[in-house]
Amino acid sequence: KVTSDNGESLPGVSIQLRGTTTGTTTDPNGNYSLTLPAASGTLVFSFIGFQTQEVPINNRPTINVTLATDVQALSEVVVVGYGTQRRQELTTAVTSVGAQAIQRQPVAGFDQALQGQAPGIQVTAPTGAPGAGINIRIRGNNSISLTNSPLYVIDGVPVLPTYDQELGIGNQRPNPLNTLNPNDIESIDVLKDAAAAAIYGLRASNGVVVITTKRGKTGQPQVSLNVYYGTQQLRRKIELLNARQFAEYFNEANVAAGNPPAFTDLNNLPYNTDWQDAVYRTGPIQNYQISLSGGTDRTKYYVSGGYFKQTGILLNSGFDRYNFKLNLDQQMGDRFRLGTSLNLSRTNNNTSVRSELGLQNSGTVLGALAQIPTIPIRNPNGSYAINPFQQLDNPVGNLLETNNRAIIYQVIGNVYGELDILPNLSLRSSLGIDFRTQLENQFITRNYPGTQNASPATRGSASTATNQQVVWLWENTLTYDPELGNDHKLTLLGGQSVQSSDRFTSRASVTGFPSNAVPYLSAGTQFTAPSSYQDQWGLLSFFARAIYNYQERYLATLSLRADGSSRFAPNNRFGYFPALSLGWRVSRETFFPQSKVVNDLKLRVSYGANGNQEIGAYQRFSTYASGANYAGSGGIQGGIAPQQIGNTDLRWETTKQFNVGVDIGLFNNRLTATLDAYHKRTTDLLTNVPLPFNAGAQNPQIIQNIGDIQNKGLELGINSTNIESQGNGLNWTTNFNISLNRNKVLDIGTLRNEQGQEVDRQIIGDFTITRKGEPLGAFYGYVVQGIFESQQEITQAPTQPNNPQPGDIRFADLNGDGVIDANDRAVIGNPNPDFFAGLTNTFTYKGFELSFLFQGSFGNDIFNQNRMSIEGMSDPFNQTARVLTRWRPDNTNTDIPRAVRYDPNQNNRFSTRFVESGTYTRLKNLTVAYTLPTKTVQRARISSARIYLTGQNLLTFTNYTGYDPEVSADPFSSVGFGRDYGVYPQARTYTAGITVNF
Amino acid sequence: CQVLEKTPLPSITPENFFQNADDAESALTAAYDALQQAGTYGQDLNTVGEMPSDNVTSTNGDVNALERILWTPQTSQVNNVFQAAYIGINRANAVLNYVPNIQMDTVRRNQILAEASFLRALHYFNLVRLYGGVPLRLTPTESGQSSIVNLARSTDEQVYAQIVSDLQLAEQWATPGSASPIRVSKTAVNALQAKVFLTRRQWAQAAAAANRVISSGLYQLVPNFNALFPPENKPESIFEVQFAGNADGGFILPDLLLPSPPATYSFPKFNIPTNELIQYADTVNDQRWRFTGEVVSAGRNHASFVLSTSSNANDNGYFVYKWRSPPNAFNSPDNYYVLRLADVLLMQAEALNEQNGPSQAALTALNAVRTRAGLPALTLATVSTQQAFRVEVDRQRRLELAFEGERWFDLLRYARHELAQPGVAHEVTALDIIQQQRGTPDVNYLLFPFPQTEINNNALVQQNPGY
Repeated sequence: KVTSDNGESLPGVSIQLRGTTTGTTTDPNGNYSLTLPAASGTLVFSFIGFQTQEVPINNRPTINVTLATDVQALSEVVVVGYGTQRRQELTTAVTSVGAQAIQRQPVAGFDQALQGQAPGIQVTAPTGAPGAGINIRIRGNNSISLTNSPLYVIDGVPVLPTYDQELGIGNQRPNPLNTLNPNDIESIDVLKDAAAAAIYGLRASNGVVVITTKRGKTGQPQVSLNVYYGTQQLRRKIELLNARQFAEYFNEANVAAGNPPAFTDLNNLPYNTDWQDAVYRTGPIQNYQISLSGGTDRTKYYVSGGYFKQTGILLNSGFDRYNFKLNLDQQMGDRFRLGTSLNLSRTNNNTSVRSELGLQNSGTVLGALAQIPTIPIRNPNGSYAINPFQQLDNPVGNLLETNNRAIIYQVIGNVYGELDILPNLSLRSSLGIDFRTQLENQFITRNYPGTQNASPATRGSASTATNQQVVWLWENTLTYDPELGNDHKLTLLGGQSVQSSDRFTSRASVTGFPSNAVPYLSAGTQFTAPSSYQDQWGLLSFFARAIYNYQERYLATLSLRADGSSRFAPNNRFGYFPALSLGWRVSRETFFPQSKVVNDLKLRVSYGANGNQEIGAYQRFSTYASGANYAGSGGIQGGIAPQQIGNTDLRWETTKQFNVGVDIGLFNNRLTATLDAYHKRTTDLLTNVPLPFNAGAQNPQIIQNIGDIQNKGLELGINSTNIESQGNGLNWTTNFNISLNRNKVLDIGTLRNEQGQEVDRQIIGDFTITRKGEPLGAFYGYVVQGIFESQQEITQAPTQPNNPQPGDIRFADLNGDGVIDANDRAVIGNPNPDFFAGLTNTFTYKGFELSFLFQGSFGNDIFNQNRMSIEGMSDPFNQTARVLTRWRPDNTNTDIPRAVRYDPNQNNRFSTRFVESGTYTRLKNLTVAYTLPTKTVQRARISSARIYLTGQNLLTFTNYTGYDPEVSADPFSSVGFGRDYGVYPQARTYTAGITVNF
Repeated sequence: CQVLEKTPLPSITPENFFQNADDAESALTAAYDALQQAGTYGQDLNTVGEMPSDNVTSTNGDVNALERILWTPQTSQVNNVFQAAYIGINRANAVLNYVPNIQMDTVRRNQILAEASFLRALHYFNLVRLYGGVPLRLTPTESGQSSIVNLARSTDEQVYAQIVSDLQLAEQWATPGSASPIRVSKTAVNALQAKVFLTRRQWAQAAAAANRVISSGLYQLVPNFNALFPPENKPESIFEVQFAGNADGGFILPDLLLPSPPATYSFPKFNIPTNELIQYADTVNDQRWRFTGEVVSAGRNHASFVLSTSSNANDNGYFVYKWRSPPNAFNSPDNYYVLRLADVLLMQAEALNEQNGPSQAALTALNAVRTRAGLPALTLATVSTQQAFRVEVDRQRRLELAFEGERWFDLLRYARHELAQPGVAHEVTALDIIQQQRGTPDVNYLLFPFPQTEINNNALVQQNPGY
């Protein structure tokens, strides 16, 4: 009998008489028998995840062996979707991130913790708002209109990566991945190339993130308690003008525009309010989690419960989560197993901060920068002070008089049964669910400063919205490992899957509250029309995969998935996604020199296709809709009008990817490196194409499959054990990764220009352009040439309308027609980084551990739109201290233009002036931990105890002038990223924690 | 497989719609609703009907291109009017395509088809007058395939032939004997026929169609011109856009024309009466224009315009006063005349005069409008020549229908009349205005350009000459 070091029977252990082909494997109970030619010799016991053991026979009739767990090897099992593979046998590009790297970071969701951990995976927190979504891009942006987020598969259940926010106050949307407690995660495997992801077919073109949660292991019940507590604070304040400096600037701007000065007595300004101090605070962050795990031969369990709470650094913001996790595995008889993975959570997202919105919409972050220092926070009568020069809300009032919450209950889980039909043929059937119900409540009080001048009858508003969605999934797979002798290893997988979603939303709102006392709909007086909506979609899929290797030397994987989607008409219903990958372990060849330096070398190549189908559920249909009402003789009559023009030819977007890779192990795998190069091309982009007006469409555009995008790149990941000591000595490991990706639009269709010629279409947004040859998100604006120093210079320069004056900006006449107009715009920045990298170092010595993670992004540009307001010098807004060097007749050697009200020359148009380098390097995480000596803790009946201190975002090296270079005001847009406009800043966090195992 | 068959739950597809009489009615209601759009009678049709003409001026940049005849394929009104007309056409097409197959009361079904035919003809009539031969789309668009959405231009003749045939069908089936201007009646069809034939210079048919309206006896001129406004389904009204004044249909135009207050916001207004028109009107001194009150801040109590003496320059001076109810933030509840009796009387007078010169019948129609305005009746002696009568009809049309979105269409008609018939001389035509604004009487500006969006995305259309 063969057992593991914790007493569990081990089935499938390979036993071989050394030097011969005689051998067998253990049965499901770990027993084996073997007829040997002689009573001497040595048996070799080997099994994935355990150290190989050689046992001399020495005439014994029964040899019981206990195999020791091989920690190194365990981490080398890679989850590849509907199965696992040993890393040595892998032929595709998969990066694995272990539990340790994730749990070190005090964050709400695991996605945040992936930053800097793996090559090819660009993780950005577009906002610092607690609970907000994180942007993950695997090998670049593939799509203009559809999601660029990877598919997340949690314990086999694909999870939709976004919640739809029904009641918006900002762009903040709660993040469904926060449903999991990061401490419950065992491993994360990121499937990057097409061949790895192809088994997920129609939804895999942005890569797949496979999350595996912890499961019970045979042994004594283990109780683990993990608690941390910390504080967060604003990383840095932006230096602004004080009251006197503001008054001087504003007088100057008024006089330049021919107005009288606004402040007559500069020496007696009654207030000098610091609005940043008024809205930012130190916020606690705390986490409590207890788990119980263990099991017997037949039953294994992992149960955990947790509470996480993050209080935001802006007033009235925060996030908290209760979650419960249950993973059970039960062996029933010899051939049948049954189990469940279940995660329940309740998250409470306080999204009251008006963060990503601009001033006109009462943004809070920008409001705290732009509100003028010469007014108090509150007037003597208690009402909120408002900018007397231009209606600009009071950021403190906006925060305190707004209440916007989204409470989300989510269940992700499955139940599975697994039957061994034959010893090497098993059938698995699982039923999964992703259920979420979201309740949003909003109340804006009567005191809200934005409406305090409005008619009393209309003040105060309340809204309620619900969003309920259930996605169920039924999957059946058959796995077969035929016996082909020792040289050939083949694993066959066949499967079928069906998934279906049903979503219902409703909303209602009321204004006109007589009092703040009852913040519910029934207390309002003026009702707006309620609404509700429902949609459904379905997927029916079939898939198959063959993994083969010959002597672990020649490796091949072939897979195919066919997905049918309700989003497409029957003529285009099924998409087929094949992939082939090959590997060659050169180091297993006899000609490969046995060397102490290179002990492992594998070459990989793969090619395959993936899809993206994430359009609206009903885009293919031509529809009619109600609401086209018209007054008749008996009052209003309901009208139903053509609404959407459908497209029955719609297909999915297809990404074809070619990948070559090298895996190398040096110095007995003390140093391993993985290098990948890839080329991706996405075709049939689903883009909105304008329709001619004669079609009579209400919204004259239609979604069509037009366009191509290319991503190509290089990735390098290195793991190194720099110093390794036996026992308690010094250990030093390094994990380094670096990635570069180049994104380019190859085609987005054509149109006819005014001359009737067929030309390439361009999509020009407010600040961006999408066109052939440029990367997605390219900034598009004017080029600043300098500042006009004299009237003569203005006369000689190309014509700028509106009579520029000395001190105004001189823009470049790029098309050389002598006039500055919209045709003089050019690509002036690229928000895509040249490369990004992460570096983790971990030192352990005796009980101490020190680890730090540096992470950075290099070569990307940021459009700092905040500066249009707070360096624009035209409006009654406070300005940054940089405008102290503004152009004046006696200060002409500057790159900052003159102050003038109403900005007649449009110095503030989008130009190179507001594009900054977004390059940064950041000490993302620093952890110091101490594991108490076993002898000490055992007296307290504790098996182990670890205390730790963590700092998050401790140091940031950047020239970016905004709050934080990790920013995006349009987190869900594939072209609007890299823009900073009133975004909630990232916090710096210090925590202290303890992990105790009983 | 059931999982893959998901139909749009909260919307309606052609397959499950158009099943019964209710569906037919609601599709027809939607076709009427298209008249409330900003690109149709809610705003832009009036703006393009007045701003280029000699009636009005404005300092608002949004209408500068119209006023100065500087329009281009990018001009917003040039785009909006074209787009909105086709939205209305598409809604009418849905009715005309599906309702014939619905099992319902035959009489009502025919009325519904008649009303939709009228509405489609009205949109095409507006399009062909402004843009020339446009693509003729006669079925609802339910596919974005290029073979469907790329549609070549038809000729003027083809578009007018379709309009005439739609109106024939409408005349045959429309509700007879109704004076209600809320829905399309048989007489409304006749009134529109009169305008179409007049534009085509088919004088006899125009006069006959106008006569069917007048002789029906269903309509009377409102005795007091001032009481004609705001439009509210008065006895003179033949067809009128019914604005609800709320989310189901707010009328944008009044807030653009009126001074603040009563307009909701203060900004440079559209359709400011020109000094030339005011002086001309004061000289005439009729009911439509004379002083009826003191010159105080409340203004002259004119039927057609008002004097406002606000301290704010945007709201100081003369303003159009035909839609007067508080406009309620671009949601005025006032209605809009598409066809009214005075218009038809003047069309009859014009058609008869052009056909056979001055006649008693023509004079009767003309005098009905003059005397209601408080002006003395003319005799055949005072307007004895065809030319003198023509000039008088032109003047009465200008004064009677000022600001109602007719003037530029009339001026276009006069210009084309002169081009087609040497020797005809209207007092002023669109070419005179083009000469005045552009320095040359460029006939290309008798048409708008096609919107750039249509040129860019419809591979089969060619731009109008000169653009």
